[in-house]
Amino acid sequence: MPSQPEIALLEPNTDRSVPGVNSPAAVASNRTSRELEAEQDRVLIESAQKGDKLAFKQLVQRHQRRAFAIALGLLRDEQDAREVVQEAFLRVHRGLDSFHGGSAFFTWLYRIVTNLSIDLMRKPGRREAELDESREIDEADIPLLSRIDGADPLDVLRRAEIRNKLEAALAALPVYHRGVIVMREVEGLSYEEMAEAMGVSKGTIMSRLFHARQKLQRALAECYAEEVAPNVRRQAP
Amino acid sequence: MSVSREQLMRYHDGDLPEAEAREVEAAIEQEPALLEELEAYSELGSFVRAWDQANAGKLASFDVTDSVLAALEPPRARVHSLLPRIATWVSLSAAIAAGSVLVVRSWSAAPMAPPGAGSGESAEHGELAPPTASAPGLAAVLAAVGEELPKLPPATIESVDFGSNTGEVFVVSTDSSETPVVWMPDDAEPDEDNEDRSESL
Repeated sequence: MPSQPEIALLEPNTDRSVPGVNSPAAVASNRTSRELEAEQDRVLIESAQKGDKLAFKQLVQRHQRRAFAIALGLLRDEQDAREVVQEAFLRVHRGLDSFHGGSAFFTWLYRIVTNLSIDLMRKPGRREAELDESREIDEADIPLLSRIDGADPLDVLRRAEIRNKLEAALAALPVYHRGVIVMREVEGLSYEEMAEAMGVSKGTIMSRLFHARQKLQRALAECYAEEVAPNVRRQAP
Repeated sequence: MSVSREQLMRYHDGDLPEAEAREVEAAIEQEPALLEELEAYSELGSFVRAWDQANAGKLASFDVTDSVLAALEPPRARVHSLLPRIATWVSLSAAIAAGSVLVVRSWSAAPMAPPGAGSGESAEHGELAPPTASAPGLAAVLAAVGEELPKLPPATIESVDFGSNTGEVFVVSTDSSETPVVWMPDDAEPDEDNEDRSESL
């Protein structure tokens, strides 16, 4: 059995607070960590290609949560997303020999996840998870971010409302648009990485991202207006 | 310099080359509308990430490692062990073989040792012992294979003195008839049929 690569494997970037604007420093940092991650993946893939099960296990452990985040963003159903991620890793394993490292492992994985998610959504009879707009706001549902930065209960409720509206708006987006939003805003992928992951040109990615953002901004227009008002109110003596 | 929306978005996403980015920054300083648009992108990004935070719990507990690895295992060789079946067949075969040997031997031995013949004494109206007595193993073998030893009809034995030899006359009774059998042992001549039968085993 091939020996386990003796490198200190860093967990992939699981920091969910990807900066909104890629300042040059952030881009460099992001790129550097991704390059290091890609190198570690390459070592693991080489071992896995030789039959090292432990190496493949590490690949799964390193990437499963991000793959799940993508699938969940696309499918909006936890069980479906789980099945897609499992199937994606099985396909990765079957295709290990065909992976020559021309692209990053995670873009390959994301592409499989995206394709599987789209296939699943196209299945006749599949109904997307329904959004219950009228549901009561549960404190547990409110993102931690909202709870810690907004002591004002009205702020908390407003953010919960924004989240519901955003969820409805995301649900209304075509899957490709939803995909680029999740990959860009949540996972922090570059245009090139998204293009690889979705198997389209960089231009197509830019177009999709632009239109997806426009739609979301329109859907959240009220929220934008309200976002300014409380700040003005607070500043008033 | 006029900045296109594509350029502004690429600037926001850090996709512009350094020189072009500087140009956009210069344009933003002169046009507040561009700054607003840029901030709108940032705001949307923070909304999306906050929305995603709701999945943090699901993500933290998500782990399909075991199920993926289990699915990769080759289907377990079905341990439909043939051992029990083999053992049954071996036992059965052995039982049949043993049974055959015993049957053959009983066929060859029965005439050699009729009741009373070995001692030369007459058995007055004695009952012929059932074959199970002379071949107890056969019953066990047959019992093992679920067969019963056939019941032989009772036989009456009459001892007759033929001069140089002593013989017996059997009267084998069945439900419908009685068959007399005259038994004259001849130790000098081997029973060729029986010999052949034994060798064939």
